[in-house]
Amino acid sequence: MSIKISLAGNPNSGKTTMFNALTGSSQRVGNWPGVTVERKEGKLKNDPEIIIQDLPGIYSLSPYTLEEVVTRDYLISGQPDVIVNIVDAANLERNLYLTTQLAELNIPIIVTLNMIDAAAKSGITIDVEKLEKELKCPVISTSAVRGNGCDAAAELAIKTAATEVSPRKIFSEKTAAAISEIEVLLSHVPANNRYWYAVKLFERDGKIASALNLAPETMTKIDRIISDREKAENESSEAIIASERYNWIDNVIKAAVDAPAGKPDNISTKIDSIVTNRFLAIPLFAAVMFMVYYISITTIGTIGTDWVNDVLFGEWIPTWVNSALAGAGTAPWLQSLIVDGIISGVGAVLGFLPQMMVLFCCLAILEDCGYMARVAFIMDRLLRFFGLSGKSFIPMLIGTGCSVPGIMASRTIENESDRRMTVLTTSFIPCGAKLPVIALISGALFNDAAWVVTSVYFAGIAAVVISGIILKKTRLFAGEASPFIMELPHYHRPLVKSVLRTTIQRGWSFVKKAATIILLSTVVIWFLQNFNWKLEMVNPDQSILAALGSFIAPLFSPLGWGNWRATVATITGLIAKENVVSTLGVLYGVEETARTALEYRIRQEYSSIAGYSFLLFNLLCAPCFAAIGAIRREMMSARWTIFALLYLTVFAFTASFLVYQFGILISTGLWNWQTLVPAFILSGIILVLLFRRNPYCGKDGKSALDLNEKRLK
Amino acid sequence: MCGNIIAGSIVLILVSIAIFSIYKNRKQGKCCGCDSSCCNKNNRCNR
Repeated sequence: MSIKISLAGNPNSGKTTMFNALTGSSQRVGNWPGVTVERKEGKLKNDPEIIIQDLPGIYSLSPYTLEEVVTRDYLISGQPDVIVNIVDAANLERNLYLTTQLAELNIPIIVTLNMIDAAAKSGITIDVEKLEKELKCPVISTSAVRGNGCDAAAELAIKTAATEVSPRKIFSEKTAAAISEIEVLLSHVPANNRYWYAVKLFERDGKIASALNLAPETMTKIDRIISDREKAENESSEAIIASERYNWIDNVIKAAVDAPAGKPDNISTKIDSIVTNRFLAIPLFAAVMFMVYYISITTIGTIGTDWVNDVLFGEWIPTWVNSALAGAGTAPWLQSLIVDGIISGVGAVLGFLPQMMVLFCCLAILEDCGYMARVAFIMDRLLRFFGLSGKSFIPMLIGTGCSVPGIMASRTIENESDRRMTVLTTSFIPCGAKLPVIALISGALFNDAAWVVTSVYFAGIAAVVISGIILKKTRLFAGEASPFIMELPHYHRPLVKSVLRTTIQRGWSFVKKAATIILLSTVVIWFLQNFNWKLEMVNPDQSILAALGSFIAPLFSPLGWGNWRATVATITGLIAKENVVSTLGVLYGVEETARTALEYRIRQEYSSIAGYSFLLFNLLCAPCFAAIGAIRREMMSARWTIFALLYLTVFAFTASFLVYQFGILISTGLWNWQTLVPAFILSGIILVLLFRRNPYCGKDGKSALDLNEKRLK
Repeated sequence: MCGNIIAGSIVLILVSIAIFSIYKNRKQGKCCGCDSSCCNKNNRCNR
């Protein structure tokens, strides 16, 4: 018989870990909210009839966030047969708030005290039998990360699914009486959910009131019941309900939990006192990222990359393939396609695999130990100063892997203008695909210096901040920053298995992409580079690609790289950002395909400043087609998508232009009035846009949109 | 001649595998192909 089990709980309570343990999936476990934007479904490992649903992490069933609305809509639709409420045993008071609401749903429920080992380390002891008596539902202890108790929890859930339950009522006599009066007026609502709807109406939940579509007379009666209670308590109905829930939770904690007095002074708190310190947080974050890139790009990663590029793709493979093809009497053009096209292009990208693997490993460690969750908190303080919120930074953190899931994670932002701005700016942060481009330029022109990678990462953050300041002063994006509440998970030693799995998964997808999209692109680029419009084989400078590239290239002359090869490489970056490297590998094809040979050609063609300008443009401009597709889906509007692409490209062009022009002026003293004057004018315009008064902000600093609403009242 | 046939076949096979792989990913609704760890077992975006 098919049974649906829903896993519900606060963010970071271990739902996804338990989901993976029960279904055998290898999904990533992030330590910050917004990881699960949609529901995930899987089958129980030993019984495919049992469906497990992993619901988004929520703190309550209120209507304030998309995750909460998605979860409660699913739960009241009657689909799950049983709820497994996963509770952080070390934070019972906060977690039980959701439990009180889930227990009102008239769906069988079991409570799992997860992370029981961490709770025990903090000196917390929970009497499971007493807790069961108070909660009136089965309770079981688990440690999902260690795989303890998960199977037992699943068995208990299956057994509980068959039981009849009634809503758990916890309110005071007078509040309970008011809720009962409201229930009487909901005779048309199915009996099994009537109590839950009555509580929601008592809380003045607007979404529920609209969904029920009650007659005006009924709404008036309900309003009178609620107002009477509010006057009696001198509180809003929502505050009454919240207060009574916490009173009940207090009594449960007193009865069943034995915890040390005062705030536990554990290691996470001690580390956070430094990591999230007002003054140290951001310099520490910069230092951590510098170390990550130093280890992966400059030192350890480079050892592997140099071998792969110079030995594997530089000597062994080309030499062996060339001799095999020549020995078999292969036509020169076919030999060129294979060696100068495919091996050159794909080899140029795969050459960076060792650096990427080390980088993925470092980022996986930071994520797994819990540090990355703090970064959103740290950035909130900085971003709020500019009218943004830390909640906007979470998609960007996800975007360091791939922009597509980063853009999709913006769904967690309730404020529409903030959400649009986040979608717009997420791709400013360098994703995994852009790393080979960074590594190539830093290797060719800056001797693999780690500061180059770190600087472009922070250039991305600066682009987000600058965009936020400028756009917040426009009508399209005006408004106060969204509130940001997040729970910082405890630090824990990164699990080797988890880090290795993440590193290998990301490395493998890097290889797969090279073998598919990059390979096809190099074949096309090789063809366009070696044939003219009459399909005769010619020198690259007389090819179709040179003709097309030369037509567009003058646009990029003010940026310092107005040649057809760099232009074509940038355009092919729209297919996949790694293509920039593989295209350069094909277009600068030399006898050896060694990275050093490619780097040598780049050093010949570009100055350091022109190279940095090229890098900056490719990092900040319109992202790859997959990310553009994600922008289109999230913006739900072709006009907004076009605006986003234009904005990104113009921003990238402006940034690269200013960096190149002022860079040349400062480093060499050379200047050209035809480009320097526009550079100064552009800088002036940007400064005005940055520092002008916000026309949508009142004198007291509040948003003028809020002021207008108050005047209407 | 023999070399052309072998080399040409290898190129065609690689290109076909690449095209088929991309087509299969798109058909399955794979999120992006950028980072497979963002895709869950049902090939939907995990994040």
